[in-house]
Amino acid sequence: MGMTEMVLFNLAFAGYTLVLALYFAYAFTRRESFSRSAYRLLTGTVALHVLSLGARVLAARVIPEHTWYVPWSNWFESFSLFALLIALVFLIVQARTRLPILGVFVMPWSWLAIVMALSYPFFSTPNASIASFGGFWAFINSAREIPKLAPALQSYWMAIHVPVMFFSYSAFANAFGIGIAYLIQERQIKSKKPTELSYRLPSLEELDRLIYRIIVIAFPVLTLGIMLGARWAYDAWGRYWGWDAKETWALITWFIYLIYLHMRLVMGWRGRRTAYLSLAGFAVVIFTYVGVNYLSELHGFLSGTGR
Amino acid sequence: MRHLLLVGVSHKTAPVEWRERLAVPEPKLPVLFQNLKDGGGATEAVILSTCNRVEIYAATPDAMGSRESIRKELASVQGDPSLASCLYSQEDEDAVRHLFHVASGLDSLVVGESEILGQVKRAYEAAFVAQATGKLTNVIFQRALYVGKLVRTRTRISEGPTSAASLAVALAERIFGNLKECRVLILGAGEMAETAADSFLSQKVARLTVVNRTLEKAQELARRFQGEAAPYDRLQAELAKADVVLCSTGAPDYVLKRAEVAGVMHQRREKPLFLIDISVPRNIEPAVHHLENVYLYNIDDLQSLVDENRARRQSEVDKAVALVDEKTQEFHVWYDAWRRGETATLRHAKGEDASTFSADAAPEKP
Amino acid sequence: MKIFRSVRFNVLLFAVLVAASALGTLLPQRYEVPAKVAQFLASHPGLGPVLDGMGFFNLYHSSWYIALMGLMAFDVIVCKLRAFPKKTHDEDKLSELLIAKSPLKRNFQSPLPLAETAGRIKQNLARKGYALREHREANEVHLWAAKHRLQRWGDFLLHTSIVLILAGALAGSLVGFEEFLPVLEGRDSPMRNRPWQVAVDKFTVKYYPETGTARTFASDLRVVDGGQPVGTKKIVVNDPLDIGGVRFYQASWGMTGMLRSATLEFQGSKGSKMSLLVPTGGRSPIPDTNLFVSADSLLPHFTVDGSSRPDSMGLEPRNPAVLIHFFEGEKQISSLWLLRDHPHIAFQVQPDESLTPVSRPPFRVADFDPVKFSGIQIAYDPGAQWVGYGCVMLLAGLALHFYFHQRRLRLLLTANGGGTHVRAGGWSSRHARDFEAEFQRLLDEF
Repeated sequence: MGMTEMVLFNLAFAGYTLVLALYFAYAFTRRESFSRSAYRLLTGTVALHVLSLGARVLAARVIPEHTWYVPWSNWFESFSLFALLIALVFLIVQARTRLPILGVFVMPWSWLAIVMALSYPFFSTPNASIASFGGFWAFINSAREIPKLAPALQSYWMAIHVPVMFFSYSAFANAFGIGIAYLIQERQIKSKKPTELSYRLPSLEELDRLIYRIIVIAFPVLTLGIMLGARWAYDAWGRYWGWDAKETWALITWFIYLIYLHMRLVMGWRGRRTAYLSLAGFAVVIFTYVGVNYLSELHGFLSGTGR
Repeated sequence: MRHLLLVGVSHKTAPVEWRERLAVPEPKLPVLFQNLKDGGGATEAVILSTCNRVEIYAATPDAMGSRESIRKELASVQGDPSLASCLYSQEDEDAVRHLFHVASGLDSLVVGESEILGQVKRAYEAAFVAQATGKLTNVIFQRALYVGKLVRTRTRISEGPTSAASLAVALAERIFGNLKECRVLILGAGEMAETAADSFLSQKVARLTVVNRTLEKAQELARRFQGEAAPYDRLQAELAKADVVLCSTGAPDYVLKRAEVAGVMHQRREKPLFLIDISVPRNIEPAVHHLENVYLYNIDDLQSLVDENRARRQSEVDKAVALVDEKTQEFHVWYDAWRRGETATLRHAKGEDASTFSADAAPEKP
Repeated sequence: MKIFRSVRFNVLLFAVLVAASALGTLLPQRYEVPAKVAQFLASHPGLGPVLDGMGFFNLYHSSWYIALMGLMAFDVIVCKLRAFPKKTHDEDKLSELLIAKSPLKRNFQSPLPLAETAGRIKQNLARKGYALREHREANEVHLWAAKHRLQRWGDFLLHTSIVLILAGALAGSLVGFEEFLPVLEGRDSPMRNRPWQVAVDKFTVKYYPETGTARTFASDLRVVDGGQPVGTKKIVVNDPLDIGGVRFYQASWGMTGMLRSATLEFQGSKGSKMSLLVPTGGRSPIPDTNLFVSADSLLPHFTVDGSSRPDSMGLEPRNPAVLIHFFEGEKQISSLWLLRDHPHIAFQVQPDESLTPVSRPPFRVADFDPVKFSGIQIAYDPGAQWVGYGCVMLLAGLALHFYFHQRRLRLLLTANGGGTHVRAGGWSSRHARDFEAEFQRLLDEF
């Protein structure tokens, strides 16, 4: 089963790479056949990826403590989940809006997440010396082993809190990519010399509204995720809010998007400023996800203790 | 042994006065088809008559003989046989190449224009309905429509609007997407305003308002475009409600200044505003462009983009011509085989629907 | 007062809270890492005390941070006090003029007579979940249809919930307490915040064989109030004991450095492998020699610090080492730190207490029985329940406000010849563009 999981995951990785290439090919040649293939291939890749997660769960069940094991319990798995959900949210966005050009703005993040999943050992053990290519491969694969869960993570909350948070993160990742497209289009038109790129990109209003709709849907999900985290902390650590770095930065993320919603809905701000805010929001999401672990060991996967 | 013959006139060979006299009005089509069969010796024919060209494509066993008779028939349509001398003619491969050029927009006044493709299609359909087509013309015209589409997709020959008005519309679409929710405000009411408004309203917009210092003029223009008129003192309010503003007053100085527009933007809650200043001298202060979510284009900006587009289309011509040559070659291979009585197929390019089509099929939609 | 109601001000307030919260994660906080705070103060003799005075080392509980939160609650109240959704009084009668004012409108003719048209429309709308109201006049039927009216509560609900959450949090922090109580296994300790004794009758730890990290740890807890038991439970991480709101959590565990015994292995004088159990507190003789050994203390995560002194990097047995003293008769001849997981190296204690490495020591420590302590986190937060209710309210409010859309239709039906003329007007809390398609589709069905 461990072998199955690896094979499925590697296939999914190949799939994501090909999808990204297809979307770039579509962007440069405008051939619809590329965008259609990309969409279909992405659907298949996502399905494969889900299967690989299932295989991982089965592989992990050999350890008796892992009654609640869910395949997002270490860095490798969480990056993998992130990539999967970005792609999934993107598929939903595609189904509703049919703007395949957005593929080149969103799918790179999904692909990057998988690359991070495979390469995080380099970040956590920077002084590791790798003797040979074989050693290199073993080093990479060591990160993919089923983790031994620390006691704090042996809880059904893991199955609920984490995917909810990641779903909102993935939606914000989509909004981020689309925000970049918005800013490019805005610069194009403002420069008074729009190039062909401007005609390939969707209109400003379309992009702006899409970002808004994504954030509107994702914000309550983020709120729910933070609350679930607090509920879990209440059972695990004795308090629902301790202002540790991860919790605090999750709250900061929440505030950034809260500011976005107030600016957009109540103050009526539109356009470039809100696009920048959506970019900032995602930057904070990434910091909450990855950056805080360099600040404290409390919430970190790295130490494996989780207090 | 069948030949394809082309006889016609275009803007490249004759001035408009002569072309006018050779044009074939629709009621006269059936008569001409008949005449081409009887007097012209054509077994098949398609008549393409637009404001820039009049061309007859005919299949005939006797190319030389038909050439003269068809020339005469065409000139006789409006009763001036002397015009026969300004008609050009092509045969076989050259005729096919010419048709492909025409369908691709390579023979048009504005390179790459797409109207011609529709015109070719309609001409072919009219001929089909009149039962004037046959195997050869069916294949040739269907192929021409395919090539016309292919050239426009594969090269950039039809990309980028080539008139200031259509460019302005295209820009508005880049900002707002579909214009049917857009509210247009016309400031001023001169001839230029009218022309610009014309192209904007070829798109369906949600609302049109005209504002002018003289209310009557505004009302007149509004009536023409089925919009509303508003008095000049309501300008601020109208600006707040509009998405696209066409400004063309005769005023000698700035009618809209930065501070005013900034205030309007606040009222509009920062919804994007597209200002098109086609007046000379400019009526809108250029600094307005630097406001957030405001996009100000004046006539020079539009014109320079139009020039760029035209230049780019021109630079694509070589590529397009090469593609047309390639397709003509392909066609020639088929044509030869067909004339020898062998079966042959013409395929669409890779990546498109790979289907062969037969000589007897009904007209496809391009 | 007006400034507190201005959205600009509140957005600014959010931004300030963002900046302050971020700052708290960048500066060390006293309740988390007091050693780092001391370090910071030592290395920033000028800036340090200033920041300390402003409460930056306990930022989230500082008076100004709490004041900012309080201000946020106050602003929410002030902004939304009058936003209680009023009962919408729809007009009694419809008129052409009224319908013409709707954002979306459409007129059409139905060939069916008035009563039938009205009946069909009503049936169709009712099936789609619309609430209907009707008013009849001579030749007219007035219809009002509304769906998802509840949505208008969302805004009020979600804002009110914020106040509830902050109030609950404040109450909890004022009245509640948090206490960390390490209890040695088999013993008990008194609590500070309640007159109770907390006993750990048994403490179990299980390890992952490959890595040696803890797999699970649990305590058999017994809480006693002046002799009377108030609660008993085997608590595990994520599964606390709750006694009337006071919760006992299995937070952590560690080794105290105390031993009960150690098991040594060595080559006997006759050449065979020998194993010796050395209970702590005494000296055990080594067979066939005149030597004695004692095993007195333990470092769970052995390391040698900068000045060659022994130290422990933590309380979990990541690299356990036992201190063994060797005696010849009554005289102590040497002391060695033996590492359980690295038997090929040991550290000899020098007269000045520094360590020198020794390779291939003749003894190795095969096993040891440490005295463990169970880290019990005790917490009481009466506000937690209210914060929970507030959270549910917040989610409900957000979902209502963002995921649902109100829809309102006004239909004026007039008898017209043999058929019916219908004037319809529509409004939605959704953007007109998005609602229009739905509106048209709805009417197409009639």
